[in-house]
Amino acid sequence: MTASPETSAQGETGQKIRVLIAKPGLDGHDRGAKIVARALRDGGCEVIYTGIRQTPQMIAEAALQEDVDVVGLSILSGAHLELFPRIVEELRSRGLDDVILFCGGIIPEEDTDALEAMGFSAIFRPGTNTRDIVSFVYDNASSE
Amino acid sequence: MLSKVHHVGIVVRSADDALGFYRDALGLPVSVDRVIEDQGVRGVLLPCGTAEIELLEPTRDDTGVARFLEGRGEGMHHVCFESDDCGADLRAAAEAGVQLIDEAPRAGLAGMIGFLHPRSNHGVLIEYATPVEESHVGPSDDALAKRIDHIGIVVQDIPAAAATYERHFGFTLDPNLGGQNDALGIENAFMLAGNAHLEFIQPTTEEGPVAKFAAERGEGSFLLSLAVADAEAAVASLRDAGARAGDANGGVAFVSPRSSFGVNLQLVERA
Repeated sequence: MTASPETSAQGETGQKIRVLIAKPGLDGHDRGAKIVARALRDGGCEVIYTGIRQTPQMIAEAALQEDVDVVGLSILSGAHLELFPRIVEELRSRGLDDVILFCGGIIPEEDTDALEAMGFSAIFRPGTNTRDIVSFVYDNASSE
Repeated sequence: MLSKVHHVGIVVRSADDALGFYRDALGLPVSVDRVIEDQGVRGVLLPCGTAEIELLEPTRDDTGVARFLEGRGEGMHHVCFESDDCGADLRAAAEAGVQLIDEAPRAGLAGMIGFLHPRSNHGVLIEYATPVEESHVGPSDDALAKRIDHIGIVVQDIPAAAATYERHFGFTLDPNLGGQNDALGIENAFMLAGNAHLEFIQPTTEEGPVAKFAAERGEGSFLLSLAVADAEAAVASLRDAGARAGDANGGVAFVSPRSSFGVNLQLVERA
């Protein structure tokens, strides 16, 4: 089944969709991450925002302990091709291989294929309407 | 008198599914598994050290356990202390000002039992049980989980909660444990309840899981910590069994609530 924010704020378990928004690495610019977190919260999701400067291990542990359905990574430092594979690996080693991944920030078009191969379902770049991010989360996390 | 933690009750949708984790992955034996008709639950007791884990599956939808499941989902439901005289201890609790759910003992899975209202005990539903016969099969040597190490309870004010628990149950704070943990944004204190500690956890920041729990649910039971001999080996074993377990860090590891049926489950390495 596919739910939209208008019809349902619930995932397959009958609970709110749980989303972790994290900022890996040394980049401390978290305005975008906070806007996305707010939009998802307003859209009816349970959002856990980790704060800035998170290591791949910290992000994976938070995703595990918070039992999230979706992990969204925000990055503006350009280190995504270095950090994201480590995060994906940390998630997989903990058994979180069905978590839906998306990312956003300053991410060149030419990196799209590499990120999709890593398991990222969507990449949101500057100028994205937050409604598209909310819709993405509902379309993907509700139809497992 | 109360002597120790008799069991921790966990409400689950399906006891069969939950046994896949608590029996098969954690290696706990099953000592009792039966349906209690008048309570509308199937209860399964799994000895863990000198206490037990009790899985509760509602068999009807008009019971407290069913309403808990409907409202909150799976997870920790109550803490049971062993009493040598359930009736006398219920009366003593009432005299201490505790609101009782059961005025007199009744037959339950753990023996003669009675429940105390969570509103009198900082959000924790407390049960007293006087075992009728020794149901305990004893600790299992090959179990991954050796015993219940502690039960984490989120409170607004540690001294107030500790005073309440001391007055109601006769347990006292351990002056050597606990303190301020800025990394976790909490302050904590420990009270030994015979065979396991009660950990009072007070949030000191606005952020983090404890603050979130306090904001959304108020006070109440928050975490179950089980002692293991080797945290890294326990994590590897749980992962082999298909459970979602975090990396061991400083002898502590966490299991995803998805694998532990709604429980914030911690594994802590103890000699």
